[in-house]
Amino acid sequence: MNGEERKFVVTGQYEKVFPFDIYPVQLVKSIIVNDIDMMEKLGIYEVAPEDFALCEYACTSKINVQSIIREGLDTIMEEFK
Amino acid sequence: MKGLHKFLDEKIAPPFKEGGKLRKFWPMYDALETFAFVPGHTTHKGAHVRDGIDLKRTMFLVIVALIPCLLFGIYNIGFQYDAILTEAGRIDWLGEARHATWLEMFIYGAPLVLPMVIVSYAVGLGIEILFGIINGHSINEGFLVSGMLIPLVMPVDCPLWMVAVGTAFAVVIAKEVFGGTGMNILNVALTARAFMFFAYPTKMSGNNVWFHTGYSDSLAAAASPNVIDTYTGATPLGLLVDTPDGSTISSVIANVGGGFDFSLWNSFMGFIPGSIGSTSVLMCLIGAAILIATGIGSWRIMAWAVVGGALMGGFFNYLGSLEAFADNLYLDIPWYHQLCLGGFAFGVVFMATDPVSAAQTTRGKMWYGLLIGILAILIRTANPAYPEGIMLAILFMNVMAPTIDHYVIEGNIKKRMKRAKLAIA
Repeated sequence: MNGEERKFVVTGQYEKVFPFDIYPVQLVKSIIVNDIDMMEKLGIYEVAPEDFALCEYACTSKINVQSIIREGLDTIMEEFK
Repeated sequence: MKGLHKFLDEKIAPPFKEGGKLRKFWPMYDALETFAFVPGHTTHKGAHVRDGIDLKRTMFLVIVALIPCLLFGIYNIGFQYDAILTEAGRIDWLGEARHATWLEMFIYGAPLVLPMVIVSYAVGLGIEILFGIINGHSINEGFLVSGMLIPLVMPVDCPLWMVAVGTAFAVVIAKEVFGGTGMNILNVALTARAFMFFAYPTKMSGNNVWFHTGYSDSLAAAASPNVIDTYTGATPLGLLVDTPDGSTISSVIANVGGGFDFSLWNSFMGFIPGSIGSTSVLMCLIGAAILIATGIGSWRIMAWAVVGGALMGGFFNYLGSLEAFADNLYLDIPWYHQLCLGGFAFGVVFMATDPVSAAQTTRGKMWYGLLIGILAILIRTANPAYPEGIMLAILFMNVMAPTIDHYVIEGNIKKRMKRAKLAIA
């Protein structure tokens, strides 16, 4: 994996490889803290975990971004039940 | 190397592993092992190919970028000492009637700076490891850079215990209480400096701290027999605080006297008194080039901060040319000279770009950098009690950065909401 998992430190990496007009780091953080309002505002409906594959590749802190997004989508699913 | 790794794995590691006696101290072992070797983790999910960079490498590259500043800082201490001797009319380095060579200047400075670096690292990493053990997480590498930055922003005459106290304060209060690396609001190294600036003002500012006037103990005295008891000399910015009425900026610069020369060229090269690592703009530029080429430092922040500083400097030059402000000499420093004085370049390159405490959004970085430049020159010029405006400017903007980000993100949310409504309609 070329390194251990760390907290978010370096900025601007995700934005560089992320194609949409969405702030990926902020979206991921809102999912980590389970803030559903913020997730919706930051555009969780428009993304799929695979969209974040490049972010995951580039991440200096080796964070598993795709599975975080998956969790976020699952949380939203729960809300609609 | 393979043999060493095997030795570590088989002989040293077991007590630290799951169920071992020293399990609690795993973070410490882990930090030291992964410092030398790539950790053996593999991916469990998600993308199975990962980029080669990790936080250790990132931090280490910043240290590489800091090395020119460190080396020049060490050299500059010897250079300033030689300048003092010259001014005292005693051109007698090593008892001979000559100036020191650059190597002798370097050797003169090294025993002063290296202990500071060691103390700062020992105290800071000690605290980090302690918190890692208490919280049971692996050690984040943030302090690798802070530990190098802290000695570089200290005056040379700063006692070692103060470096230790400042470092401890900064790591605990600025970083660990917020949750460690990645969570801190303020830049750690600048917090250390600000703390010491306000807690021990006599050792951090004024006229006595920027020079080392010879070793006093017998061992080192052999190397430099000419101890000058006290020497009073200001940094270029401090110098302007008390000047006789009617003097102009060029007359002040011209009358520094002795071996000193605060001309634009010397300010750019760094042959001026100041904090250890931050005098040379050239070395900061080399560091900036390394940071930008490796993609670690944000060129946006650096560029906009310089633009901000230049704009504010230019504006003050205009004010200085008016009759009403004739007596504030700070206003008369040409804007390009402003950018070369004090810690402006060092702060902009190494402190403002700290990714954790800076603004995180691309557009936010622009405002963040611009305001740092403006504020640094504003504080320096409008309030000469704080000649080192860049420190306070960056700390202030650290606090403001989340607010900037908030508005950038709100803007993005509104824009996308509008688009979504259009799509529905």
